[in-house]
Amino acid sequence: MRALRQRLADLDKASADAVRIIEFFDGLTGNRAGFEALARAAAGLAECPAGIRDHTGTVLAYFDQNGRPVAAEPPADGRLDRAYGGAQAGGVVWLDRTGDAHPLDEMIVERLAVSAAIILDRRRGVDAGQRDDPMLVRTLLNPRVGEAHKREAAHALGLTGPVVVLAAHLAARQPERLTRLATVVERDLARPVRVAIMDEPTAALVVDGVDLDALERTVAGRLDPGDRFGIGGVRPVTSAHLSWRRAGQALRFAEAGSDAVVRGDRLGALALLASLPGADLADDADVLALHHLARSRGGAEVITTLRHLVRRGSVRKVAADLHLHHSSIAHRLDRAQAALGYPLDGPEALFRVRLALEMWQLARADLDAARLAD
Amino acid sequence: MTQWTRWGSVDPELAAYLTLLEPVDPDDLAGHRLMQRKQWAAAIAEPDQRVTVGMLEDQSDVAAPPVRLRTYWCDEAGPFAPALVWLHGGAFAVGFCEIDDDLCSWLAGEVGCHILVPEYRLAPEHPYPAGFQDAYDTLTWVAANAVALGVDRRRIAVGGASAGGALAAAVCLRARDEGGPAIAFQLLVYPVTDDRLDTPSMRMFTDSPVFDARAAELMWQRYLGPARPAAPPYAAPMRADSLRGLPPTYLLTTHLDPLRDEGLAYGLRLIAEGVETELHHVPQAFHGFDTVAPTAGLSQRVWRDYAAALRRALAP
Repeated sequence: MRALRQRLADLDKASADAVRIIEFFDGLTGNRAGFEALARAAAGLAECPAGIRDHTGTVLAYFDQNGRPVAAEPPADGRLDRAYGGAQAGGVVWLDRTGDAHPLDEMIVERLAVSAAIILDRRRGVDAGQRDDPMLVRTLLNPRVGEAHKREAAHALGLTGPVVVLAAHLAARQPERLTRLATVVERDLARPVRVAIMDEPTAALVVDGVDLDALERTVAGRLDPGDRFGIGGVRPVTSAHLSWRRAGQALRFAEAGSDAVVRGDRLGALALLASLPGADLADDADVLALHHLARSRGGAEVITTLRHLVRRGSVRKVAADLHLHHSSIAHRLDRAQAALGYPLDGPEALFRVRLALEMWQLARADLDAARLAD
Repeated sequence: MTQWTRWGSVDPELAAYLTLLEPVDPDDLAGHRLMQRKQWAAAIAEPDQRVTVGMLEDQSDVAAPPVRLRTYWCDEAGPFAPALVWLHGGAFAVGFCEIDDDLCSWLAGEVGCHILVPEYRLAPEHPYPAGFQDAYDTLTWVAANAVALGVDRRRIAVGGASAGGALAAAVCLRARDEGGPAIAFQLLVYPVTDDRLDTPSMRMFTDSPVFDARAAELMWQRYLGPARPAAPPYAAPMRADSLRGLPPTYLLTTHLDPLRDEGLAYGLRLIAEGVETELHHVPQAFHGFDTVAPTAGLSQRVWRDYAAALRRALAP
């Protein structure tokens, strides 16, 4: 507060003031300040509270003349507003000037708006030639980050509606491939897509408000061999981390199974299995039985038959699927029953096998690594 | 989220405030002092609601202090409150007792202590030991008049920034050496500690904001006299043979500061010589950053930390 006031008080010409103020805000944006630093510095310069709202009216930053955050709602009048960043996803900056206007107010609020627009553009990656800022995506997907910061990150990323998060393992792990994919999905769906490499090699794609069927079709149509995707559920931006968690669970099923794209919303409670460590999943008699069976001669066919059985529910339908006589199916199921140690004679048994199959699939890598079956 | 300036990476808010810095001609002492006075007078400091700010002349019920004193009385403190003797910065040659009003009025309210800042004599008109003597006399005066001042004699801290840090550290050394008043805590903010000027940071920062190697050389010439003899320990505390038995310490250094390495070295010596020491190093900041930009996020964070350290050290 004082340093600024003092220094500006020493200047005699209004034009010199203007140059100083421009340099001051350039110093902030040139050093990649955030909205908070910007509002705090503006409040210090103007010697009155200053704030920044996003396009929804949510307050992103609001500080008093001493640089301390203001918790109260901004007053309705006595305020000098200025829009920034366009009507779609821009917002408003303001000064709470009570009492006489200061001659520099207009200049300050003008430069504050210009700087907010610069920061917004930069966060959207417009000026840097990048698609977006991975830091912001990580903020959005971090379960420990509070709602206010999530909202600010979403605003800066230009995400407005509910979002869907995808977890991806791409066959080619170069960032360019991820960027290309995001661009293609963005174009096909006409919705903003933001990306970040999360925990190498897992990448996150955040898609702004879109229906899951269209998204699944688009992604399935853009697969390279070896790509794996998990699709999270539709969530408000402030709960994007929940969509990301579900996407990660779905990705684990995609990694383990035959479907390259798995939708988390269709997994239901099975998704929870993906939260368990492989070693825990492997520590089960049914899972071990399936593992032994799969490694035995002709075991792979028995497993395939079991998979169809738990989905179709009848031997006749499985026989039709696999183009086999139902007596061949019955023979394979005999082997399965012998391995598992219980008869496959009703819905409860089928449910138990279904669960064991999913668990075995998720635990396979651990079983192979630990040679638990040997 | 920062970029490299010619001095290194700077916090974005601090970088903005740098654009407002008035250039100072280090040889024009009168001009520098006048500018400081004018800037202080132009600013209407908003005192903390919990604190009464004034000069000691306003009081009549105690013996006259050795020098003019700026006082920050914490209205919420009881009859035996802790106190901080604060020594302003300014290379021993500029600055005055009201110059840290922002920090001191806030700190007094936040900590719940009284703060007293002496108008110590400045070099080169009054070279060492004049300023140091004033600082030390202020401490003994506060201790001697503790009851009248409403100060708890066992809870007196001494602190200072930059050259004020050298004075604070030296006051603590002398109080130890002479069995002077007990000092509960020393707060050393980017302190001057050594006149030898042979650290890597002193060689590196020949053109850093607010304070650079040339200003450091000039500072010692003014403080020790043009012949620039080797400094005694009460001028340059690093010269002390031993730092054992000094009060618990909070010491802060900034990265873009020629005084960085001597400050850190002093802190490490304190630790090695058995003094309870908190050593804080702030990257992306320059010498005096918190006085140039008191509202910046980093400045507020550091001030809150001073308050927390003082509250802890001065708890009854």
